[in-house]
Amino acid sequence: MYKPYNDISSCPDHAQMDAYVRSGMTQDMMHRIEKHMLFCEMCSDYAEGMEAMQKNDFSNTLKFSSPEKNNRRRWLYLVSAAASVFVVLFSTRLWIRRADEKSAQQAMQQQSSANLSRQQINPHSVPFTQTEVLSPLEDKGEQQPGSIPSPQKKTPNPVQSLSEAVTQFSEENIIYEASREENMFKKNEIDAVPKTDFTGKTAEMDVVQQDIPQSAAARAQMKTPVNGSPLSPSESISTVEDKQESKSLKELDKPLSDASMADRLLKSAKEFYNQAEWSKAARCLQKVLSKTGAEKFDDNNRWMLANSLLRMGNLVQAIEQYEYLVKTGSVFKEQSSDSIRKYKIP
Amino acid sequence: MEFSVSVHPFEEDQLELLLQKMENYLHQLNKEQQTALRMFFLEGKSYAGIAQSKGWDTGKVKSHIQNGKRMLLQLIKADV
Repeated sequence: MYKPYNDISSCPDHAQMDAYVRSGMTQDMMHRIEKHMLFCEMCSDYAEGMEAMQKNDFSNTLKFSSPEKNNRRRWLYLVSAAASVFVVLFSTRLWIRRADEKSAQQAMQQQSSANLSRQQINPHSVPFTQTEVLSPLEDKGEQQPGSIPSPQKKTPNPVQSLSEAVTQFSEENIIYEASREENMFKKNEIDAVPKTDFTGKTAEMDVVQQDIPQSAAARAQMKTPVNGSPLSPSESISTVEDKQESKSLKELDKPLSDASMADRLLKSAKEFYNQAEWSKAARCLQKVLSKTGAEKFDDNNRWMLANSLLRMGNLVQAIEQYEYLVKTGSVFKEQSSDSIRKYKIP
Repeated sequence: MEFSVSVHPFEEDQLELLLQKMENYLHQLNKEQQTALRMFFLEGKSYAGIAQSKGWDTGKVKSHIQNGKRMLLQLIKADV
């Protein structure tokens, strides 16, 4: 009876398939089963599986199932994952460090610009450092109220010390640039603001400088004491000027008792003014002004005071003095009004 | 009672025609496939027998037979 090849009932049983795999049947029977398998995928797969089992060849199907290989592979995965995590962390740390250095440099720049502006306002003010700005109590070892004390001080890190050296170098550069700019600013201001020779006449700076002997030897000759003991130029400049300045500054601290002291202070103020020591000149003049009163403080002195304040960067007080000069109709009226127009902040 | 196969003359003509067509289709296959198909279907040999007589691998015999069968089907379908 004809049975179609895809009919399950025509499929050989397990015993027949086993005999076929072991080649334990006749050629005809084998041919019949092979003919059936040619059209029956199920029997074909069955026979293939049985042959594989007989040969114990599971290399294709059970490739990754050996525990040794699995362990090796697992270790590879772990090592690669750890390496990638390490790389990510290291790069993040580097990135954070670079960002910190950048922000520190920016803070340095801001601080130096602030110092510069502070010096412009008050040239004798001491420039504050970053540590003072951030935590003034930190360097002194004091603890801020309410803060948790640190358990131990940090040990210096070589990378950190390198970065600190770099920032210190950049800070020195910035300070050098700032001092250069400050000097330029002073020079420009001296050139810009008209000078007076204290006789009521204005004169340019170069004229005033012509009057003052420029060479060190000449200045030393000028400053030589009355007894005539010869001094070397450098020695004479340093010692005599220092003595004079200290004497004037000591007089500033004393209460103004009599008119002679006021005269001495005014003389010192003029000397300071000629030497472009604006803050000292302004201090002397302000002292005289506060003690003698506005009536006895003449226009020359007020003009000097206003100019000194302007060069110190103390614009508000300088403008006040200029305005007083304009109001009283002094000889410096026009120059004062010019200065007000130029420097008054609207 | 003696068993005899009687074929109708009309069917006999058709069978002859079909056999001729199959022969033509077989000639269109390559030599290995022709040999494997002839030995398997017409001579009734098993894979092992064909492999033994031709010196091929059993897998190669199997693949020649399967590929030849597929090619024949395609040829018949294209003709119909």
